Amino acid sequence: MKRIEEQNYYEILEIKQAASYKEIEDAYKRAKETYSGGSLATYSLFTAEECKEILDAVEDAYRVLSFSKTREEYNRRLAAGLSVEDLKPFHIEEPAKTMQPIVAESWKEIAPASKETLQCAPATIKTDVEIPKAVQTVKEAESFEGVEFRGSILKIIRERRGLSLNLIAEKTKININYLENIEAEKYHQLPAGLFLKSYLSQYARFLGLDSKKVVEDYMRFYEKA
Amino acid sequence: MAKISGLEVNWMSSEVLNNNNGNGNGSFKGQIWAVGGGKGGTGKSLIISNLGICLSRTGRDVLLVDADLGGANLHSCLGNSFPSVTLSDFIRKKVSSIKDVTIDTGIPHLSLISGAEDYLEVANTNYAQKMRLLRQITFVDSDYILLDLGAGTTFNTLDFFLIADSGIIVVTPEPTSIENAYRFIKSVFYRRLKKIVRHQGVREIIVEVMDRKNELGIKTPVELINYIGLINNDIGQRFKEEVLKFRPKLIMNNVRSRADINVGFSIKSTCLKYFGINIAYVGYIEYDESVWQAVRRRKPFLLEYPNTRPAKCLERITKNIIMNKDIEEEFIL
Repeated sequence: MKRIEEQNYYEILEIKQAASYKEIEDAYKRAKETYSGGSLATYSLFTAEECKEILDAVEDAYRVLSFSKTREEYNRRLAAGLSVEDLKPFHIEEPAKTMQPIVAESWKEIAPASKETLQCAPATIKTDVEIPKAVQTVKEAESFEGVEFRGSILKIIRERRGLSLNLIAEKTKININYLENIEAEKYHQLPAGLFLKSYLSQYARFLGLDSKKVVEDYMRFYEKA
Repeated sequence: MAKISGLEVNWMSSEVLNNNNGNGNGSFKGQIWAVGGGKGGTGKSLIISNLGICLSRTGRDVLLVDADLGGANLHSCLGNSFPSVTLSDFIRKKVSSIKDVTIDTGIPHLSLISGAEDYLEVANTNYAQKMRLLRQITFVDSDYILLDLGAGTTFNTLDFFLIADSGIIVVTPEPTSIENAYRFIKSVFYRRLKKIVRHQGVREIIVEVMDRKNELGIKTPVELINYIGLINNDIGQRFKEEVLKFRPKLIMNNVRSRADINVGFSIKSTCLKYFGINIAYVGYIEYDESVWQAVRRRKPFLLEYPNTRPAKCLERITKNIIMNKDIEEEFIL
């Protein structure tokens, strides 16, 4: 029974001190959903300013508790009854920077000529072409000059980036079977054209590729088959 | 079987004690569940009747009481015809014991006291009648008593909600329903606080604070309790204990999406931050055509469509209430 400004970070996020990191994430997500405005649950009890105040407190709590280093320090101070005013949240790293570089001579080289070669594991290729960050779509598209994006190529690009099909399915909400069939070029098991185009374009964007080009190329193969 | 904590606290409270002529000490050792909540049409009667069926299947004796006087329709939810004896016969003293108005529902272990009656006066029971009913309830020979309180925030509704071991609030994911649910929680909450203090000054403050635009600048019940603690430490302490003990249960009805389910979590969080009350979100019931089809046929959907998702949702809710647990994330369908 304390005002929000008197509550500790655990109380603000409505979790136990022993909460797991997943519980912290969940609590944060829920609080954001509840107090970001427009929630059915809040508008009749809290004003917009009050929601903002709660949200700010939630944000502070999350930024400290979601990293083991700052959380441990916070727990220590909490137990000792020390001030936490100067506790700075841990620096949040950009996740996109740690992508693996793709190693290839040229894209034509790894593009299998026929379906048979697909069965073999792709040969190890020497030179390294730095994969630009996912955001730099235009530049990236340039480096894929002359590449025809068929399923097998898309699969190679995806794997070189260390992305699992599961992850893409989860993020794009595309059924994993469709993604698998797209890569395996099982054209007769793909959804109708319009849906396929939409899936391809989402998938391409997720890989940081020029989605327009991917759709065009892929549909050419699709129509031939 | 757990003792009825809610009842015991209330028998000790001044108001009930003064009117207790030695009659209120029946042998009832079961649990009382009450369903209330501000807005009408959110599915309260439907839910409590099916909760009753769920409980009766475990072999426990369950008594459903339709205390929604003036709007009673539990008999229809259970597929029974218009009852010959009703609660109003008891209230008007046509019969002396509450057992005389209990009817068989045709479902094993489940009996019903209907509230359906055209006698309009009964909807406005007075204080003495209410107390007689409260006393008589303790003589019921049953493992569970389930009260359908209907909509609204009249004192009768609030008092029955407060004596229950499990007070259940039903909301649908709509602004109107949630607003009324908050109003209901607020009314129940203040009534509970007012009942436990006789200190006139504190009572006046509570009345004052019920108006949000009060001059004290107290915006939330959380602030109120802190404020009272400053005036009178003992009362403040008692209030804090009361708030911790008070855990109404929340059911989201008619959910159509994951976002609707999450509204329940948002309500839980909002209540904790605003009232300081830790509501138990015991579950949700998915929207499904089968439910209203069953209602139309005047059959409980749990019996008509036992394998539908709403039926499964209801079973899970029953379990959560019995075990005194919140909904678990992993089990959300």
